[in-house]
Amino acid sequence: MIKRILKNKLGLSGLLIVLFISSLALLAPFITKYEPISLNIEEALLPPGPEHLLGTDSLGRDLFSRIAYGARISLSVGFVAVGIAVVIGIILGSIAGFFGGIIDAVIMRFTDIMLCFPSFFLILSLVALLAKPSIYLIMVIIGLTSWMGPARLIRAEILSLKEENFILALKILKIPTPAIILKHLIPNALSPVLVNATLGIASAILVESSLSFLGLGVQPPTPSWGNILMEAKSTLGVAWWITFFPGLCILITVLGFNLLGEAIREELK
Amino acid sequence: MVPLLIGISFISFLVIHLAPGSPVSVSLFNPKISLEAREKLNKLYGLDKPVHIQYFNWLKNILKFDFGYSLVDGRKVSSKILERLPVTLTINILSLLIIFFTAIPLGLYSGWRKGSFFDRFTTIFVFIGFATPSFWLALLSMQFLGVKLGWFPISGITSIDFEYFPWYKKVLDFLWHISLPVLVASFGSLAGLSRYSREKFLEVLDKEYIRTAFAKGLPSSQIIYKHALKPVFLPVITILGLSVPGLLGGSVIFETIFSIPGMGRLFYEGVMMRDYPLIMGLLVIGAFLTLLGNFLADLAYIWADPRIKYSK
Repeated sequence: MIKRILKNKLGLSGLLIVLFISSLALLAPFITKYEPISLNIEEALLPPGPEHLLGTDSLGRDLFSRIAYGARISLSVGFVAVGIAVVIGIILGSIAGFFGGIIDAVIMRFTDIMLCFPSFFLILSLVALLAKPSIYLIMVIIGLTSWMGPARLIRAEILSLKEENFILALKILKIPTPAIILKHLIPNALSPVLVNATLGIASAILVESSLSFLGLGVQPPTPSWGNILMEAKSTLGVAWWITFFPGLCILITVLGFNLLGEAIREELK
Repeated sequence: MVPLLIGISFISFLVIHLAPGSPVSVSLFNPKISLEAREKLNKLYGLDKPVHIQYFNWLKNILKFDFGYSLVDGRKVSSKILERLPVTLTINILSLLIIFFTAIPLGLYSGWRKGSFFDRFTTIFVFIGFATPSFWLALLSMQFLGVKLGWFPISGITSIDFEYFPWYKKVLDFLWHISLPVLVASFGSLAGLSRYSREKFLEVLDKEYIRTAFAKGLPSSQIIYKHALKPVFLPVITILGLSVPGLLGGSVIFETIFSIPGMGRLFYEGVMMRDYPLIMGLLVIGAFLTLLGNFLADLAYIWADPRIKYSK
């Protein structure tokens, strides 16, 4: 499948973008000249140039360093949040799909109810419960509010799979139920979740940056793309680069995961 | 729908009861709250009673549209929300109209000219539109259209001398102030919906009855307007109904950026001040508006497609 995605033009560009941002995040300490949080008031608000590749902010911090370290935050929030959502989705979806009946009805009604809340409202309410939002709590909150898609997909897959002959055969062979679910049903039901998870990373990154932008996510001085943009508000009209580059990074990263997700979807058809 | 509403209220109640400390003890630390308001709170929440009784009391109150009192200023939550609702609804309805009247033609045309330069261009635009963070777009448009060029105001919904304007100028002034927010709010969904209508249109064009119509030599304008458009509109209407939660979530962001006194900014202020009754009220109303959007989409669907019966 990977080979075919590489042949798909959009998929290939998506993969390249994801690889690019990932290496930016991984190599951040090696490719940056300045510490992301080291202040230097004498060099405040410098436009992009050879010394500071993307310029500096109002406290003289190097924007390129901050963006590179911010990539670590965005990507880890994306992956961990989606990981949590997928695990919850797999557990609830497979239980609902396999056992059916009242268990299924209860789980699916709960899913419907969760889908009724505007997800950003729900996330903000949960953030409001915390004394101080930390990056780990943000990951958990985004995960806890986005498992509904994966749960529905897994359930639908398992509903159709459990009628297949090979599952029937396993049941006749008296293979224990947990083994059937874990070893045979879930692995076969995962492919549509892969698409959902890839697109989910993109939206988790958007949510995290929106939260940090509102001051309710990753707290300064730890740089995240969202809180760099929050601080950019005060230099609006003076320093275009502080607004432009972090947002562009969010756009490119989200674009990359979306393109990759679409390409996987095409391939699975 | 009723079980859903009960579930929504139950979860909202649960979320707020996870809050550290009771609503009243929070207010004890807030010197701005009068003794009288605190007594009101105590009575309202009946905190001496067991949790399930508290829940039923709260449920009874929200059925009467009573969400209790704000912890910040002691005012009724319901009246705080009601005075903020019109602005948010106006902006969201305007952006829905813009989305509807630009996304569908865009999608249809690029579907009709599949593979053309226009189609490839809109495809790229759609992917970029999907990926653009709305608050970044808001900042950029503030920076260039607002600060640099000075075409649009960048905060508030009225000018300083608004009160002295004749009524028509008041309307124009209001529209001028909300034009950037409306544009920003519509941009994201625009991409999604145009993509969706393009795909649906391509699906319909591939149907046998459409191919028959082409084969027997009907003019293409007649085929499109008479036969191909309606089946495209149906799913698009549903998507519009389903976009309500996204729009409401977006309201929080752009109302905060553009300092618009709407529901979204009220939510943001509530979260910042940890004003739990207000948050709880807005959560319930947001979920209710989402349900309403789904319901209206269903109604439109039934109206547009007589094959669907409501009993389904």
